[in-house]
Amino acid sequence: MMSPKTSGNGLHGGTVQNGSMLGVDTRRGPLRCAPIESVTKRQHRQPPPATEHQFRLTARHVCIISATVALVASLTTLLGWFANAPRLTDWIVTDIPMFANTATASALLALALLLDALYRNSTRTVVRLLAALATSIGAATLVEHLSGINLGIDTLLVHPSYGMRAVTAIGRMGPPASTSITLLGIGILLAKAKAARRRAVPVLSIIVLAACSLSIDGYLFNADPLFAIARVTAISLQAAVIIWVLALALLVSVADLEPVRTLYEQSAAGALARRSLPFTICAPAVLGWLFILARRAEVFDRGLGMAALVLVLSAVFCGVVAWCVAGLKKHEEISRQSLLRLKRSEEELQMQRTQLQTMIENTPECVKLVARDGTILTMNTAGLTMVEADSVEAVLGQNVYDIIAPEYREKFRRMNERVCSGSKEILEFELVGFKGTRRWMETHGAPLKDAATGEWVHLGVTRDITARKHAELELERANKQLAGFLEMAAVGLHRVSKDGTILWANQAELDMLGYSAEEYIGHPITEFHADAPVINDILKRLTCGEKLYGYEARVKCKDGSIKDVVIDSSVLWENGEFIHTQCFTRDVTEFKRAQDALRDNERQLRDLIEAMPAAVYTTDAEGHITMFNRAAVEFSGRTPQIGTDSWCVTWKLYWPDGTRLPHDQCPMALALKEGRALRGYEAIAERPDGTRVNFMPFPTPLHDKDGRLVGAVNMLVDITERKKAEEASARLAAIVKSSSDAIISKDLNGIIKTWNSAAERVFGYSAEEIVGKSIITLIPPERQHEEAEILRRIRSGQMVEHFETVRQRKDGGLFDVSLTISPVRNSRGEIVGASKILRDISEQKRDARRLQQRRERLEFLSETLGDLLNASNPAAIIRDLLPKMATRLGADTYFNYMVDKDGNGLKLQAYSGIPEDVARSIERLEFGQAICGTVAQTCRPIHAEDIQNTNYDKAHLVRSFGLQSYACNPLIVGERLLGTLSFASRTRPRFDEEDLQFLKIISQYIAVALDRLKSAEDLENTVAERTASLTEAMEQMEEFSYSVSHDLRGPLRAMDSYATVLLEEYGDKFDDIARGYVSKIQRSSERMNRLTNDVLVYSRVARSQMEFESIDIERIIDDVVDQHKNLQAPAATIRIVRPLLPVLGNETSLGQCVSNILNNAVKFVAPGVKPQVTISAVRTGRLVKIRFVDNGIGIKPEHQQRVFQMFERLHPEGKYDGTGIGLTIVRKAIEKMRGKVGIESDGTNGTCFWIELEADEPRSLDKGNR
Amino acid sequence: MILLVEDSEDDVFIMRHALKQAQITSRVEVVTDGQMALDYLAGQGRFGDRNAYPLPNIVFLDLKLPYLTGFEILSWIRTQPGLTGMTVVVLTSSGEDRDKTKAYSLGARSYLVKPPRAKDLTDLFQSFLGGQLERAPRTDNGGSSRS
Repeated sequence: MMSPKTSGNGLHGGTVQNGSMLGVDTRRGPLRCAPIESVTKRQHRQPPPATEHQFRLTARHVCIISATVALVASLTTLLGWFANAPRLTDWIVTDIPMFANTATASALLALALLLDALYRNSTRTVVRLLAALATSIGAATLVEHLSGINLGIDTLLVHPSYGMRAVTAIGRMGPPASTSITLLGIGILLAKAKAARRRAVPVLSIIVLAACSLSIDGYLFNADPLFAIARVTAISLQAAVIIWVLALALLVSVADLEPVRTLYEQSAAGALARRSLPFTICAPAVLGWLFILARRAEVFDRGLGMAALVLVLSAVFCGVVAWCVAGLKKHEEISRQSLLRLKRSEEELQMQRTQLQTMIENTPECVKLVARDGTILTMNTAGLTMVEADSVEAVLGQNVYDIIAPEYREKFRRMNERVCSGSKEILEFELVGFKGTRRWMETHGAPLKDAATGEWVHLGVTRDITARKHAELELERANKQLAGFLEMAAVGLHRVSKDGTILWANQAELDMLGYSAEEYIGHPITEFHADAPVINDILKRLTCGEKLYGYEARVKCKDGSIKDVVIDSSVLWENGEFIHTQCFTRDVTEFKRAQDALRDNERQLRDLIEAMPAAVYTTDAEGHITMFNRAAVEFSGRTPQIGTDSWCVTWKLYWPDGTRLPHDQCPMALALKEGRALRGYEAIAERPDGTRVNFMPFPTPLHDKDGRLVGAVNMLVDITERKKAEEASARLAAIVKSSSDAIISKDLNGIIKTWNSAAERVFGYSAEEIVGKSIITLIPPERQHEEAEILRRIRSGQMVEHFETVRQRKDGGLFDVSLTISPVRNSRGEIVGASKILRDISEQKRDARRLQQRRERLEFLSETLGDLLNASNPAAIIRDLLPKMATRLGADTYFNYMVDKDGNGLKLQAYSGIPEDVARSIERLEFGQAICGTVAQTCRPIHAEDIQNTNYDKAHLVRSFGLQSYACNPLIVGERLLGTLSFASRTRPRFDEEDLQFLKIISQYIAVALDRLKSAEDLENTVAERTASLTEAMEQMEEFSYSVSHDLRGPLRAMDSYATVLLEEYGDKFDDIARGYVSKIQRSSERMNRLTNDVLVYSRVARSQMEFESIDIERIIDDVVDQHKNLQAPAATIRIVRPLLPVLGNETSLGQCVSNILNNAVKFVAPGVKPQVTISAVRTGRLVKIRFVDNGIGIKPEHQQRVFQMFERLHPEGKYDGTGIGLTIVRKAIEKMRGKVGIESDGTNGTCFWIELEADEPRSLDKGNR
Repeated sequence: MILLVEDSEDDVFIMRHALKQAQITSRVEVVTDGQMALDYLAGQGRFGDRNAYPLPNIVFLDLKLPYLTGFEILSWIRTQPGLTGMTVVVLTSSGEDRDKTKAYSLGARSYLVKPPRAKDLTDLFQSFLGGQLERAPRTDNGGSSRS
């Protein structure tokens, strides 16, 4: 259907409604389409022909020219009035002038038409105004004429002095002019009005034209009544002409209206009008005029003239008719051709319609027309089938809603109404056929205008989509099933949006993690992963289009536990757009745990193998070593090379007979080749160091569960010992034979089996005599019960060791023996008897006590010695020692005398066994007095025995104490006597040799210990004294510095202050010289102050005890620079080539050094040079050299050592400020830090000061020494 | 008022000069040894008359003094309940850290190294007394409140 269109046409545009091309006859049966045409309307659709356009242009031009001419003429007339030029107001001097009012009204009309033609719409209001003004002039005059009342308007502009020939009042416009002007004015106003009123315009124009023509005609033919009757026809020629022109202009200005329109129409009428009109108007007038002229000239008389006139007229009209006929014929031809074309296009349309009809009839879709109320107007065959109707009649007039399923009826009704209101719609609905079948339909409704009623009807094209719908429903069901399946799946499943939010998760996943749907869905997936990098990686991979299979991750359960899961995931993409991920999550926690357990098992197995004392290794099926334990390394004496070694871990192999055994023939190789465990082989392995090991291999092939050979394990058992044992047993037999101990063996019943020669000697029985007899024979009757116990223990596998008892010789004599009885086993390990080693210990027993005593004393000695040597206070040890010794010696009394300090006698140091008052009486002994004095004098020990019964004179004193025996030893170290040590007993008559020996040794020990004690004391005293003196010196030094800092500077300060006050208060009374002296005092004192300060710093550095620590030299430099304005920009540039390496040193001192060096470096620059210092560090071995390179004046090499000396200055005082101590302090401080300082300079281009210190690095040993 | 404990005449002169320069017009009482300082602060001996010898608002204390050192005086002041709030400024020639640390630990409020400069004194009086010294000397034991 075409949509209505508007298009402008004509000079004053109008709207033309275009109808539809296809009209539909809705009253006929199956849909039929018919073209509905309107020829006229159709023509309007075509663009205007060229002639029409030209005509319009011409009309417009005519209008403009006419109006212009009229305007000019009117204005000249007015001018004539104002300029009093009668010729201009009365062209042909008939004394009927065109009055000013007429001229004015004409000018207004002319101007109105001109403006309208030129500017059309924009001047609409002005045009109306002008026309109205002119109309009012005309109308007023007309009123005057009709009523006879003089309104006074006639002479308003001009009072004419002539023109009285045909007027009713002076200067009054004539009736024709006033009427014409009124009509023209109304015509112009109407032309601007609506279409219906506009139709009056041509009528008005033509009336005016006619009236004016009449007047002009009058003038032409001198017919006075036509222009000179004052009350009726009075009009000047020029007024008639001007108004005629104006009427023409008005007529052509409405060229779109009849009759002018006909003039340009391509029709017979148009052609006729165009051709005949000019002649019809002009020919009679011209001929009439010629006729008059000829009469006046008396060329012919009236009869001839009339005849000629008629003749000419007839001829002219015949000619005109002939021309018109020709034109009409031509036009007829054109019409015929266009009719033919029309017919052809009609035929084409008919064909198209038929095609369309056929198409509609044959289309598988239902095409129907439905009225707004739902009445079915038409329906095609497919539609009939669809609704299960037998014929068209069955559906026509039926309501379409009846065949719509009830649930869709309302929807369809609304849709139908919308379509019938002009919109297009699509609807899916269910249709219930006349036979009750339900089908899914999709209808496309379009509005269609009914040709008959002009109302919109609903053209419905309906398609059976039952199959598609079923498919859709099926799909939906399948989707639901899938969703259900996924929901119920045992595997956890979720979907995640592009931004990582969980969109959906199935129950299995929720169950797995323990969350409810609300807690899980809608949350970011990252919340539930234990490892953020893992999930981020997953999302990144998925976004990149990767599919993940078996991605391992760990997720957080609600109960806080972590589950190991395996994720299979991919992204659902649609048209390249990320829809969501779908992610299968399998809980593999148990699996992992099992795996870990397996791994643990394997590790335990490995550990087990590793821990096995025997060499164990494994190989793969090809015999390559795959694993071995430490014992294997020890066994083979080498570390087997995994991947290259085969068959055996050993270096070289030999058969027991010494022949070489190649590795690929070793039992392991055989076991692998034969696939069975081999046992019973022996071989010898040689280690790289040449030692050999006898061993037994136990190769066992390993099979997997399918029985395939996968490798083998071998254990190498060292049988060197067994071999040795075998060899030894032979030797043993010999030993037994030749043993000095009796060696007897017996069975479990006590029957003697073997009997060696020593047994013969000890017991007196020969082997022949005793073998086969019971062991009881050798046991004295009262001890025979022992045998039962011995046999019991032997049977239970126990040994009887050093069982001391008594046995009986053949001669009946008894003797002490020590028995060692061991069970004897056969090769199967069963106990079959006992071997008995029997030793005669009669002698030994006697010695045993003595030995025991000796051993104890030795132990005591060694302990004591250790104590004495290790003790920090041996004196206390000695005090503890003496009672113990007394106990061991069986002594009840002891004395310890020491040489007294002046060395003149002995002083009792420790004692026991005598009362205190007695002890006081013998506290001091002279050398030579009593036994101790004698011992001290002679430096020899004295042993007095049986004192009470002898009269050894020196023993007088000890005899008085009731002592029986007395042993005194000197305590001597080298030649030096320290004192004496005596032990005595009231019960023992004497000390034996061993006691004395013991006493002697212990005395020596004690002497040495006491000596050590004394030396240590001496040393300590010395150190303490020295420390005291050092501390004193240090304190004095401190005191000195303190004094220097306080007192030395007092006078200086006073000097400076007085000088300042002097300058301040008396400065104006001094001349310049005096003031100069005072400032010299100030400068000197200031300099002295600085010197004092620097000396103080130096002394502090020199005497300080430095604690070493790791120093961040960069920080130190930064601090120093921060504290000194002259080191900062803009005064100077300090550049640090970072990083500087940390050094060992003392922070305070190093800070002082850096400060001095930097201040020194920026100080010595040439005038006008900005100081620059670059600090860098170089490490050489354990030393770090820090270099301070400046751009100063440099130091000549010959002066370089001097700068470090105190008070050395290389420049005269005043040139560069300074005390000459700064660098001395640096050198001292650095030397105290065990470093070095130095200078590099060529004497002109700057100086490099460097300090070298130990680098800070972890050194456990060195650090302790600092 | 100010109590200056100083044994050196020169330093007394310098101090007076600096005070003058700082336009501090308070009365300055000078004692020349540690014992005198103690007597003055305790109001005993010839300083028994508190009207003639009022308690100072600020004490400038040298460290090296005859009889008693500055440190001893500081320690003593700490034991006197009536003098706890008094502002004591150590004024000494020693710039050594150990002296400085010890002085502060014994309750010195500030530590000046000789020679005193007018600027330092102005700052000191501003921060501790807030110009209080220009007013009539207080007789109670209260020094300035801690700021």
